[in-house]
Amino acid sequence: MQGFSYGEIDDKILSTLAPPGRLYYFLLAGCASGILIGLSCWGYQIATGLGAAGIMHPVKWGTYLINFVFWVGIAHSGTLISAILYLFKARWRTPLARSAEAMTVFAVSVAGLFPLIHLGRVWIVYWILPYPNQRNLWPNFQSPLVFDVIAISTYLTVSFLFWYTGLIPDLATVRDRATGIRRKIYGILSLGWTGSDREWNHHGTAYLLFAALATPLVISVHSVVSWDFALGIAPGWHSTIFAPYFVAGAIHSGLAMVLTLLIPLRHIFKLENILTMHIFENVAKTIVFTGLIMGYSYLTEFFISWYSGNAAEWAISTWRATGHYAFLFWMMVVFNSVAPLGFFFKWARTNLVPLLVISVLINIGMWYERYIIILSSPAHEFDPYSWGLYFGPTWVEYGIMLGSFSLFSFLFLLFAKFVPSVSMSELKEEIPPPMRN
Amino acid sequence: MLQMDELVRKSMVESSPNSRRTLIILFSGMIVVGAATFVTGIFGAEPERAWQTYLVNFVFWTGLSFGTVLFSAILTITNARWGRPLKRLAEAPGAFLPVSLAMFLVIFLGREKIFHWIHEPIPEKAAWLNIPFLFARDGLGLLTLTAVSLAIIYYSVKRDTDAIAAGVEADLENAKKSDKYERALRFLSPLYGILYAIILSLIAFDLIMSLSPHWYSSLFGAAYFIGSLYTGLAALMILAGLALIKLDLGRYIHPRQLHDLAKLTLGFCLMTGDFFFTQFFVIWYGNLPEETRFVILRTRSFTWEPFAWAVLIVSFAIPFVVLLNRKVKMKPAAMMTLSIIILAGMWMERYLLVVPSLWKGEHIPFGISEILITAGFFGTVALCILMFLQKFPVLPVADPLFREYLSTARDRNRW
Amino acid sequence: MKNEGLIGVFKYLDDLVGALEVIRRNELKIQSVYSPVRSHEVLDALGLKSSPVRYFTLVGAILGIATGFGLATYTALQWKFIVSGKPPVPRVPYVIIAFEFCILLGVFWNLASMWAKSRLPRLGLPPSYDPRFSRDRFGVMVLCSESDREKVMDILTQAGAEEVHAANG
Repeated sequence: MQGFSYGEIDDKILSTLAPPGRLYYFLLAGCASGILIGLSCWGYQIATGLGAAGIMHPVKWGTYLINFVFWVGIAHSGTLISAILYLFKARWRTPLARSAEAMTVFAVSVAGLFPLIHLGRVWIVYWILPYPNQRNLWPNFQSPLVFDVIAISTYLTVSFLFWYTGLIPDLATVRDRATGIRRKIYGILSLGWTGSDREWNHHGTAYLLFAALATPLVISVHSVVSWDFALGIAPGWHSTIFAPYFVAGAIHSGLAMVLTLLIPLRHIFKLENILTMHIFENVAKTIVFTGLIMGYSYLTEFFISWYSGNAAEWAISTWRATGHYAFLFWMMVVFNSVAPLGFFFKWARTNLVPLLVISVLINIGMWYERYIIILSSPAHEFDPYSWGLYFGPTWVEYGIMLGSFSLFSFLFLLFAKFVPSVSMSELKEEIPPPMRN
Repeated sequence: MLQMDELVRKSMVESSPNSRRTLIILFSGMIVVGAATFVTGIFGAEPERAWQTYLVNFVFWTGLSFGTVLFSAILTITNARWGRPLKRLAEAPGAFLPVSLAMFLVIFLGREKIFHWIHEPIPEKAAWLNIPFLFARDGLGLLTLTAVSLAIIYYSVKRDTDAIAAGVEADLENAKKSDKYERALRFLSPLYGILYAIILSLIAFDLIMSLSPHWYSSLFGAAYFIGSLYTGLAALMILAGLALIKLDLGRYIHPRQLHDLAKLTLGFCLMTGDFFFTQFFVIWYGNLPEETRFVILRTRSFTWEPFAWAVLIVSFAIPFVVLLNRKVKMKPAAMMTLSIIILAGMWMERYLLVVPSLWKGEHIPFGISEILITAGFFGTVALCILMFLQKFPVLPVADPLFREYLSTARDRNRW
Repeated sequence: MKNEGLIGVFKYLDDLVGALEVIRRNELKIQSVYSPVRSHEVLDALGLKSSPVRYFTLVGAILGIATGFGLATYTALQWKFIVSGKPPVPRVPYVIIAFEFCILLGVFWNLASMWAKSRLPRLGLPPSYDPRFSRDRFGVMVLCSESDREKVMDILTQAGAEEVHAANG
């Protein structure tokens, strides 16, 4: 990054918007097919009912909730990088911020689909919104599910607006170099930005305020998601540590996803000078931190479930460790809190192979963490007569999961080609301005 | 650009002998009065009052000291430049830690009055809540954490004293980043961070949560150690303000530093408030009697409800509102006042956690004896800080990142 | 609206800052200073006050808290159900609703005030705008009458402008 001039930064990043090769179209087509498969599975489910998704007594929340929490978690690390690290003035964040924020917007969009997919009667989803109606019925604002609606829609709106506001100067740069219809479109999207002193002054303050508002929003959104579980009295769910535990887990999985996405992106777009190893190293160090928080949470929950003297609490803890899902439980513990410890070694932090491997392990581990949390508690509640199991994702759920990952990748691919994936104006702020002396 | 000797000279505390002596006498007087009040209390009519006050002060001041040392460790872990001038000030309360370890042993003498599960044992929890195991694990934990924090302080200070003794300016200017001090600090700081979380959680579970042995909250440990960090940051703010005003270190501690420290304090104010609300909300919503009893006593009973509101307002609401304003964050006097308010609020919070578990009377037991015992603790901590800063440089003169901070001409990322 | 003047294109930031200082000393009217990057040197040289967007955002945030509590309370009062033994209008969960609306409305007011203050969105680009300004050149648009043109041109070229030409508004 040092040693680049403003013009060179522009050239380098705008070159990512050049017409793509065949690989890109191939991937795009693959993602589109994945989306179609997901849609058809969903259609089948709407016609057949939620039994097609394996949802039955006693476990009434399956992979849709897992995916919902998973995607919201991915979204959080994007906001962490773009907003929270901005507040901390961590300079290594700058090349990552745009892609991370895009990842947030797309991940929240995908996440927001899952409560919809999970509904049996999808066509009456609008009943959850507070609108005046003839019977004067309103949603129950005490319910964590309603908190979810408000929190997730707020998060989507705020993330999108934050991302867009940061994009405006860059869209102006693209406009100025484009011709024809592209110039018109980017012209409209950049709102006629000219980079005048007045615009920069207000933009700077607005951006800072966005970051300052997005930070507590991130914490609150995943706390709200965790309260979907913690506010009930189910053993294994009713635990006060859930909110910070989920927030830390979200950041953990999100950072791992950042590594998983950006390592290939860097290679494909040849952005080695901008997405440097130093940045990946810092991401890896943060992953160690969040991994330690996960380890702390596992230990504390286990201890308190014993200390509480509550037979049902202790039963769920031991069942998770030794029962039907024991393999997945231990996989979760090892992948989430032990594997990241590898990043204590500098070698692991600065080589692409361990970075990629550990980040993929964490992604898998965090998905299975939501699996264990969401599925094991309803399966093993207070009354032994009601104990049951959830028998893994059905083909419908696999199809819809494939659709969700494809949708995310599809959106991300489009983003990478139509919008500068590294923030040019912020990078220019990082380097010393051109001075005659 | 700056003179090395001026830096070194300024950083060795140069208050006049008279004012130094006045302070030493004042603090020692507080210690004597506090100790006397405590001893007369435990042999008097209401020994529980003396013991609970002792416990409240112990957890408050110990948490504060560990919290400030954590700030120094965080500076090392994150390679932060902005807070470097404050590093030594953050390490200063660590001088209290060995004393606090001794004070922990005193709790053993009052165990019958403090831990009700001694004479009303709970069979399911007896494997954890028994005196030998509790004192062994807590003693060992505090010893380990104290040892690691003293090691951090040792290496940090030794780097400076060695550099000053060597006295060669060229060597100081070319201080290598990976010398043995740096390596030691880089190993110890993350270790300290991990141990801080685990051991302070243990202390919270054992010394505060077990006072109501039927109650439990998994976030309790984390709430304690985050609250201790918040308290530590407020204490650091006071020390920074004093350094700025009394020790004339304005050249090195810029109002911008206070601004950044205040922003960090705001962040942890929000985090502490959030952790409080999270616990409260989950327990309120679940409405399970074994969990709500603890909370209802503190927030809905006739005796404690006003006090709980006071804690919320003083610890959380007032600092939040004040810390939103940009200009006030750069005024040392205002920030110091706010920090004193935060410390008072967090002390009250610890009081609210501990005392209702032990005191069954109708009126809040707060009188002259509580004030004097607290003054005794304050005097102890203040004396330890004073003695530490007398002996060791107040600025981390040989820290390479401190040098970088000083030589950076412009602010980056100015808002 | 015809604003006639001269626009100077600069390659180096220190040149631009010098030019701005001279222009302000001569009490000439600067319409805009274009730059590819937010630069506090420029903002300082122009003596711009800090943006009032933060006050609008605060207003929005406070309105949001009121909206959150208001909406939740109003809807609960329609039927006054007692749910799970909690009071019909419970303060504790409504803190969450109020908080989310606080952020949402704060963000809306933030965005709206930023747009309004920056006079965005703009239908067309001003004639004085040069596409190089979003890449690596700085520009200053000085409003001046015919008579002052010589003087302004002198100031700009002496400060180190790459180009100076006439422009409207």
